[in-house]
Amino acid sequence: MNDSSQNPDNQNTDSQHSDMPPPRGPWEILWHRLRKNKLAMVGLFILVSLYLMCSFGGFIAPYGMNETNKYTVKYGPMLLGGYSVAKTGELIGEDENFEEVILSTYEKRWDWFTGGVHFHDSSGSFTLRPHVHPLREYESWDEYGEMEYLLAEDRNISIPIRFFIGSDERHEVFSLCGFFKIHGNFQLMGLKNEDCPKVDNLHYGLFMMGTDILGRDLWTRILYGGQVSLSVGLIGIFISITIGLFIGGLAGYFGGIWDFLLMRLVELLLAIPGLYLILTLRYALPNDLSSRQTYIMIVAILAIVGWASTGRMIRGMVLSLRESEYALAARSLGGSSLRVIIRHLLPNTASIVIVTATLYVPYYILGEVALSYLGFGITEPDSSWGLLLKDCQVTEVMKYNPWLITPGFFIFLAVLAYNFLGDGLRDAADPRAFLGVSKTDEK
Amino acid sequence: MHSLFRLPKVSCQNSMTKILQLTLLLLLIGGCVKQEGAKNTESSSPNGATETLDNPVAKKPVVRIRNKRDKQPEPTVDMNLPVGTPTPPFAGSLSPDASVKNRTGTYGGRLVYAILGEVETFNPVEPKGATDQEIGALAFSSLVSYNNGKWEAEPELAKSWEISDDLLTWTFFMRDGIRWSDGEVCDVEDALFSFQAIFHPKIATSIKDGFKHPITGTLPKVSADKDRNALVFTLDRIDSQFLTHVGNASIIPEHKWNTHLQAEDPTLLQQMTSNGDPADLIGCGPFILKQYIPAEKIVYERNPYYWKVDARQQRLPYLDQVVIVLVKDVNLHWQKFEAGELDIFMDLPADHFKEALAMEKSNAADLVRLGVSLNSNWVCFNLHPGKDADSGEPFVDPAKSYWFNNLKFRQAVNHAIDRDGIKRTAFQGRATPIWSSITPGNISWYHNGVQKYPHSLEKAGALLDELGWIDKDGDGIREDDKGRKISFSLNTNVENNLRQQVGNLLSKNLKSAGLDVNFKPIIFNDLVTSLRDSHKWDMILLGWGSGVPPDPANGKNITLSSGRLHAWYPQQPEPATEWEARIDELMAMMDGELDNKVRKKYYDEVQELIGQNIPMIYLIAANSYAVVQKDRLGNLWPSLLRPMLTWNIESLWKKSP
Repeated sequence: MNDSSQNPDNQNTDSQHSDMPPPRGPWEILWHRLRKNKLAMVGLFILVSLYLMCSFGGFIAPYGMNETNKYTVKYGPMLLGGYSVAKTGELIGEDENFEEVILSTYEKRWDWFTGGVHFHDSSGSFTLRPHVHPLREYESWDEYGEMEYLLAEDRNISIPIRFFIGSDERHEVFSLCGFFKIHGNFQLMGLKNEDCPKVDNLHYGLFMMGTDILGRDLWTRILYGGQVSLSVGLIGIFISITIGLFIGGLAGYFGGIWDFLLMRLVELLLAIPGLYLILTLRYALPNDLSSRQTYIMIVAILAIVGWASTGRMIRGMVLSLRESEYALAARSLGGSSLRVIIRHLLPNTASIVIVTATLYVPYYILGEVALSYLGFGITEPDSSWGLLLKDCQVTEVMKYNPWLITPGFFIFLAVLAYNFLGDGLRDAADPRAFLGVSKTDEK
Repeated sequence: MHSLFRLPKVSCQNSMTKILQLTLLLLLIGGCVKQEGAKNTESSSPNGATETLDNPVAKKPVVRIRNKRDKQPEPTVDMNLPVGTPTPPFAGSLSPDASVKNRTGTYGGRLVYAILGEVETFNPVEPKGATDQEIGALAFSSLVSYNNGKWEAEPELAKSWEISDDLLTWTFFMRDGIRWSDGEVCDVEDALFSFQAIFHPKIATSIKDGFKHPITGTLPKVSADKDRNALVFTLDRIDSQFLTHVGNASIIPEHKWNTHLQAEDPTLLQQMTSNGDPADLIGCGPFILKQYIPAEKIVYERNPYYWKVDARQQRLPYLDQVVIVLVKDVNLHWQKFEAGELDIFMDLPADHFKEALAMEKSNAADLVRLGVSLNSNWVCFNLHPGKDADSGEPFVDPAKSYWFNNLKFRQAVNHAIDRDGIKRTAFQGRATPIWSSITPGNISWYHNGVQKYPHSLEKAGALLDELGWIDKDGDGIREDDKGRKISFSLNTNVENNLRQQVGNLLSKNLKSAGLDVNFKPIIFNDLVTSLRDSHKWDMILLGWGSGVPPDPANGKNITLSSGRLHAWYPQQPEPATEWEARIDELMAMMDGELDNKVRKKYYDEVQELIGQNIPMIYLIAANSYAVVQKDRLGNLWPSLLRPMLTWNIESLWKKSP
C-alpha cells in the first residue's frame, strides 16, 4: 500500500529511463513470484477448473441431481470399463402353479477398459464420437430360489453420446454456490431419446463415474455436491476472516482490557477440539431444517468455530503495526481510531490474511464433509461431497462398489490444491525472501 | 455344470486330501466351463432369451427351487458323539420329570454372539423391549414355551395342562423336583408368586396387558393346587391366546423375592436391574448371569441345576458359557463376525449380504436363508380428528385432514408408490412387496386375497383428477378442489439408514404424482412421542416387528380401534368408522375361538378391510438371513421367529471349543 503510493514524482522520473523496468506494487510482486511457483500454479489451475466445473455443473451433468433409476443401481464407472455376464448354469424351478420353469444362473464380471465409453458404433467400425452400450437386465437364480438382478452391457448395440443437446425440461445450467441460478434447456452431453428405442429389460444410461445406491449418476451428484462443498469453504472463510479482522483489530489497537477479554475468548474457543465443537453446535440447532437453512447453518457453524485463530494472529500484527511511523502519523494528524485501523493497519495485514485464508479453506471443506458424513449436515435428496461419502460407511461398498469413493478423490484434490496455492502464496508474500524482481528478470 | 452345484456339499467332509482333490477338480471344471462360456457369449445372439437354446453346457441339473416358505429341518441325533466334560459340573439330582430333548451333543465351549444396543433391565417381570425379553429367556423359564422351529407351543416348567369344558379354567401341572439355580426346589408356590407379581395392581408391565379383558380390564383369577402341584387359572372370557400370555410370564423364585411384593409400593421392579448383583438373578433357565459390563458384554454360565436331558440322558445345556457382546453399530457387528470373533450373526442387513455370500462361497460360513421376514414396513396418514386439549387447535391441519380422510386420495398414494423400486434400490432386490401386515413369511396367517394397488402413475393421476385435484398453476404440484396446494410432511426415524432411503424414494414417487412431500427424518423417540401422545404428524414411515408366536391376536394394540398403537387414530373412545367397528368385532371373535382355521377366516376379513380402506399402506418386507461360522455349532435349528438361532440355546453345542 505505502510502496505504491509513496511518491508519484519518482515514478515519472523512473519512466524516463527506458532501460529500467517500471517499479512494481506489492500485489504485482506477489503475483509475479507466485507465477514462478509451479506447484502453486497447478493448485490454482485445479481450483479454478473445479469451481468452474461445479458452477456449470447443471450444464455439464448429463442428468438431474436427484434423478433416481431403479434399474441402474450400483453400476460401475463407464469411463473405466463395463460389466458383462456369463451364463453359469440352469435350474429347474416351480412357479406358483407348480409348473416347471427353467431358470438361469449368471455371473457378472467387470471388464477393465472394455465396453463402457468406447469409440465404435453398432456395426463395429471406428468413429470419433464416443458411444456407450445399453444395459441389459438379467435375472439370475440360485439354488435356494432367490433371484438377483444383474445389469450388464449389451455389447452388440452402441448408443452415440451427443454433445450440446437440448433437453426436454428446463433445468439449472449455472449456479453460483447454489444461490444465483440460471436455467435453460440445453446440456453439454447426454444420450438422446431418439437413439434409445424402448425395449424390455434394456436400460440406457451415461454413467461415466458409475451410479449410487439409488441408481443416480455419480458424476452428476459430484458436480452438484461440489457447489455446496466448495462454496461452504469460501463463504465460511470470508465470514470468519471478517470477524477475525474486526475482533483482532480491536484487540490489537486498543489493548488493555479489550485485548485481555477478547484474547481469553479466543483461547477458550481454541481450547475446545474443533470437530467436537462443530458437533456440539450442530446438536444445539434444530433438526428439521430445509436444505437452504442447513447450508447457511453449516457455514455459520464453521465460521463461528474458525475465526479465533485468525483473530489472534491479526491482533498480534496490529499490535506491532500500531507503533509504526505511518500509524503514529495518521493518529497525530487526527485520524479517528476506526479510520486508523481500517485505512492503515488492516491493509498491511492483507497479504498474511490472504495466505491464512487460503490455507484454512481446506479445514472448512473438511468440516462440511465431516458434518454431512456423520448425518448432521446436508441431507438427502441434496448432494454434497461429504454426503456422497456417507454411502461408503458400509464395508460392503468399499469391497464391491469402490467407485462410490470418487467424491473422496475430489475432496482430496480440492484440499491439496488449496494447500499448494496457500504454500505458494505464503512464499510469495514472505517479506524476508529476496525483494523485488528475480535475477533472471533483471538481466 | 452338474457337478458345480454339488461340489461344495461334498467338500464339507473333513478330510483334507479330499478337499484338495476336489478343489483341483473344481478348478479344472471351472476352467472348462469358463472357456465354453466364453465361446458361448461370442456366438450367442444379442437377445439373451435365445441363449438358453444354443447353450451346450446346460445339461439341466435337476435342482428344485426350494419353496421359500419351507421350514428349516430339525437337527438330527448322532449317538456316537463324544460326551465331553462340563465345566462347571452339574449339581443336584435329576428331576424325575426332567424334560427329554431328542438331541445329542458334546459338553464344553462357549457361544459368542452380539446384540445391537444395550440391556435396560434383567428383571423378567417387566422387560423393556425385545432384547430384554430374549436375554431374559437365558436365565428364566416360563410354564409354557414356544418351539420356534415347529411354530407351536411346548410344555416347559409345566409338564402338561388341562382346559375345562367351558374353556374357562386352565390347570397347569408343574414338574416335580425342579431346582432353582441356587439349589432350592421350584414348585407351584413360585409360579403362584410370579403371577401374583404380574397381576399386582401397583406393578405396570406389558406382560399383564395380554391377560386383561379387552373391555372390562379384569384379570383372570389364579390359585395354587398344592396337592397336585398345579396352578389353576379361572378366566372370565374364552381366550384363544391364553397359552401365549402364560408363555410370556417368566417364573421367579418366591423364596428370594417374597419380601418385595408389598401391597403398597412393591419394590420388586427395583430388583434385578442392570446395575444389581448378578447373583440375585436366580432362575430356572439354562444359564445363570455371571458378569455384566455395560456397553461391553454379558457373560452367562451353565445353570448346574438345569432340568432338561438329551437323548443319551445327559443333562443340558451343552455350552459352558454364553457371551453376548454389546455393539452399537451394525458395521462393527458385521466386522466382528467376519473376523471370526462371533459365532453367529442374526438379522443380516441387505448392506452386508454380498460379504456374507462371499464368506459362504469361501466356505467360511453358512448363510441361512430364512425366507420373507415377518417384519413389515408401512406408511400411514394421520386420521386423528381430535383437538389439542391445551390450545384447542386440531392435531392435524384441517386441509390435510380433508385430503387424508379421502379414500380416493389414499388409493392414489398407494398406486403412486413404486414398491418394485424400493425393493431394487434400498433392499437391493432382496425383499417382497406386501399389502397387509402379514407378510408371505408368515405361513399360518398370510392371506393372498388382500386388495393390491400396483404401481401406476396413470391410475394415481386419474384418481386425483377425478377428485378435481389438478395442477392448475403448472408448478408440478396439484391443488385440491378448494385451491390449496397438496403439501405435507413425511417423517421417519433418522437412525435407520434403510428407512431414510425408502422415505426418499417415497417422496420422489409422490412428487411425480403431483403431491408435494417434505421428507424429514427425525429422532426415533420424538417420532414415537408424536405418534402416541402429541399426534402432530402428517405421514409417518415405520415398521412393525412380529412377536412370538406370530399370531395376529398379539397385535391387538395395533388392530383394535382402542389400541395405543392404532397408528392412524389411536385410543379411539369408540370406533370411528363402520369398518373399524367390524374389525374390533372380528378381533373379539378371534379371541373367543380356539379353532385356528376359523380364526384365520376372521383375520382374513380384517386384512381385507384394511386393504380396502387403506388406513395404513404396507410397503415391503425384507428377506431374512442369518449367518453361522462354518462347523462351529451343532443342533442349530434356524427359525424365522426371533431369536432366529438362539431360541434353542440349551441344546446348542460347540463343535470346536
